[in-house]
Amino acid sequence: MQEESTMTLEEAFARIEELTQKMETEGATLEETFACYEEGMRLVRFCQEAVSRVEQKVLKINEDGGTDDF
Amino acid sequence: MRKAYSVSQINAYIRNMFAEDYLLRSVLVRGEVSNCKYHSSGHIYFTLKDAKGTLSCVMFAGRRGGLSFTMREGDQVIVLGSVEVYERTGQYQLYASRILADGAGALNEKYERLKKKLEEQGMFDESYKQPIPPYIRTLGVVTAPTGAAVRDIINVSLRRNPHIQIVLYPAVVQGDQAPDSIIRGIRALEEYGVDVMIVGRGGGSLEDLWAFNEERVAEAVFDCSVPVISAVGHETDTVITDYVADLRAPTPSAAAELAVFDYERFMRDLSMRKNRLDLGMQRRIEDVRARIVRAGRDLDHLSPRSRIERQRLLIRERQRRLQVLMDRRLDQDRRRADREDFFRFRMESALEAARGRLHAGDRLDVLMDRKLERARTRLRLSAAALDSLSPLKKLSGGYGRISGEDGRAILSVRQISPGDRILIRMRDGRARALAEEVLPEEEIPETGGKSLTDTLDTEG
Repeated sequence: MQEESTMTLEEAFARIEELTQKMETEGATLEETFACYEEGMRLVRFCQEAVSRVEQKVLKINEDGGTDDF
Repeated sequence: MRKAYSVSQINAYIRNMFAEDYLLRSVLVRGEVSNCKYHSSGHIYFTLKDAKGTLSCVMFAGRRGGLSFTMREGDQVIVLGSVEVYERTGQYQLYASRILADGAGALNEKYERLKKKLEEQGMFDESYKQPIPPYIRTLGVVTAPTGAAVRDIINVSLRRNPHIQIVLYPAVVQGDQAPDSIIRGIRALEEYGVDVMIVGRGGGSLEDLWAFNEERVAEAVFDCSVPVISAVGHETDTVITDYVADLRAPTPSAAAELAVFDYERFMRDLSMRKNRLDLGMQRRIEDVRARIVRAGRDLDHLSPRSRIERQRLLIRERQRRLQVLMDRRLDQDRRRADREDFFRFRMESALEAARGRLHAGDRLDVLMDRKLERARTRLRLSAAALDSLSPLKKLSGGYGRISGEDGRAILSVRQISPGDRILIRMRDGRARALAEEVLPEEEIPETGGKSLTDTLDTEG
């Protein structure tokens, strides 16, 4: 499993999908299911937080690579 | 008679007509250069032509500043100047003050050449195109910091996702500096680390958009490691960067739509996924709970209490069956007993009948008894008769018979010695006696006593 911090949202989504399918598989133990659930929920939170940063100002990049508010 | 004018008068008249014409005083003429002569005086004489006609042109030495390149035969140019009449020859010509290389022809040709070249190099190939990530968090924009394009991109992006980070590289997008500026912008944003980059500008003429047809700009777009969306001009404008970019957007607004995901939709999507996780967990918990309940039931089934309960039921059942068997048996026995009673009754009846027959036997006995009685009576009578004749009669008057121990009748005391044991026989019994003393008397003559003694002995 990849560390969430290095994950892209698409990867997180894909992983959530994978976990959901795993949970829906017959024969998974309760512990496995719970682990999937926990990880899935963590990823959902991660996704939520990743896209819901405070409202961003538009930045302008300078010749020296620094940024100003646009 | 009408007045006749001189040639110079007419030429002067026409010159004035031209001079008074507003359009001809300052006009732009597009055409292809031919018969171009750089005169030693510094003037340049040439002809502009198109498919249907020619126009004489001159650029005087004093206006040479209006020409920044070396004009050659066949160049497509746009000439700014005035159309005037040369009185000496009666010809009109275009007096050029500025000569510009014309986009359309030259640029179109250049564009087609470059397009063909890059296409042959495979730079337009789909296999080089990177997918645009669906959920980007940082959007780079290379465009002019003023104008509709940047506004459109920002507005659309923030409307779709208020949390998107936009990083703008304010580029020169028109003129000679544009290609380098755009290239620097692409590299700067690549360096900065954006998820997707929009490179473009608003609408304009082919010349205005030309920077996006420059080979080095195309190469910069092609080489960029960040997915690039090309968004130049209007929908009908097509530039080289459109072909080499990972995605072509018809307009800057459309580029923003393509680059930035819809936040609301994303959240709905995420919430749906969360629900699926919740549901999955819930379902599994319910599964497990059901299993536990089942297991509990199974365990309960195996518990001593249930066993006892089951055994109790079993016993009850057996008891019931026993009862049934017992009842049946009793019933059978009762029926058999009834049958036996019936037999007994018959038997008793038979016995009774037999007994009846026996009573008849009893009557025989009575007859027999009577017969015996009569016989006995007769016997008694005979015995009495006999008895009266018995020697025992002699004893009944206090007399006795004496005998020795050996049973021999003692007829005389002389036969007895003192100390002898003697037996005295009387009518009703015998006595043993010891002779103490013997006192003989005078001898008495014997009278037939012997026969009586013998009789008595046999009877005792």
